[in-house]
Amino acid sequence: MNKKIITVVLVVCLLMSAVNGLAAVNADPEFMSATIALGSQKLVVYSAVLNYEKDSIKVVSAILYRKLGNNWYHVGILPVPTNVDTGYSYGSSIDYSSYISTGTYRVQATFDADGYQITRNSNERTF
Amino acid sequence: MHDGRFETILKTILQENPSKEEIERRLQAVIDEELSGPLMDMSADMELVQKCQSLLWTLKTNGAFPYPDHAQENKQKLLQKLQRPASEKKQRLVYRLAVAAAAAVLVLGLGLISLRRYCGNSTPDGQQYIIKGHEITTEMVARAIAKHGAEGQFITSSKEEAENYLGFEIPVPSQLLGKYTCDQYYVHMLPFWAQSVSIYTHNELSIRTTVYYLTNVKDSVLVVEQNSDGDDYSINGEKIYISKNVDQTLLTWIEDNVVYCVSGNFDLEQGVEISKEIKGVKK
Repeated sequence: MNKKIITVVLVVCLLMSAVNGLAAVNADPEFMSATIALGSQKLVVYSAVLNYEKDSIKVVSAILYRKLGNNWYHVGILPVPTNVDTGYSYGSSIDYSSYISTGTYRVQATFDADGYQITRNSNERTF
Repeated sequence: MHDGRFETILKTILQENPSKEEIERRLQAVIDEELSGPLMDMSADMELVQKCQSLLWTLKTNGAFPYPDHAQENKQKLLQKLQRPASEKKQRLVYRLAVAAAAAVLVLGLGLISLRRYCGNSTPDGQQYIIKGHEITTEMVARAIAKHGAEGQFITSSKEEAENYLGFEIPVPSQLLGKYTCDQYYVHMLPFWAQSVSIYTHNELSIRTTVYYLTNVKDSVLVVEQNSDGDDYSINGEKIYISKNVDQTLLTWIEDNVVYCVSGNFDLEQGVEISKEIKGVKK
């Protein structure tokens, strides 16, 4: 089945040119990096690096989404890490195994740096 | 140029029907071969590179995301920028560079190609660059994480203290560009990687050098913010991803299981010099 999929992909690539999928601007003046890594054991790592020094860096919200077909559906609100870091970087992790069952999921979370907030999505992963 | 070479590669793959991993290996080998030359010798077939990167991205995402293609346009912009007089360059803010694609932070558990290799891709909207890592021996990192993983953020002004905490050397110099001095180190021990952020300051400006020490390749995902542009460049034979995040320039590259991200308000030439200083390349 995988080889059939690969064959289809290759044939399509032979026939089509690359597609430009630009959407809304997502670059950020305060964050160099805002990573939400959803691991294979349903553990999520939150990591951020800032361009400027901050008094408070934290994760203020996290939402679980499940993929059905090509669409993402809201599953529920997740608990967030309790730690608050300072300076230029943030790091934490949390186990979401009790919230994730089978299927394809991703986590959407909001980082807060001295009141400035950005929301990003994790990688998607199928369990 | 390599007219029809991409089509030949695809037809060969269709005929031989290799595994997905083998296809990805072949595509990455073509990309590496094209990008192995010096930055300015113009020998790389960027069209071929972009087609291979596009297909590699499609395979890794199972076609879920389109691949943004700006490489040729952006390469021309870069070359035009480098050819401008020095005085004009100094007046210019960070230069917008071309687009690339990769899987980040990169590097993810999507059937990675081989040891000591990486793949980076921009997100479909081109606004984030994701790098994925590959499995590499990381016993030292794993021991450090096991020892300090529950302790939270570690901050020090001493590189020696930071290195003692990590249990290994932070592979960055104490000074950059002859004037930026490192005076702060932030360390985090996380389940999938350890990270150190070194802050270099000069007057009121700063350069941030983040080093990610990957220990869990399967689960490692790193994401950096960027404008819609970004591209891979060969500097002294090694691949570096250069992008812009608003007014900040971002350099990203991988050495074995270690990912380097350098950000600051510097131009392309300074960025090249910074990468050389961190890599320890002699002028």
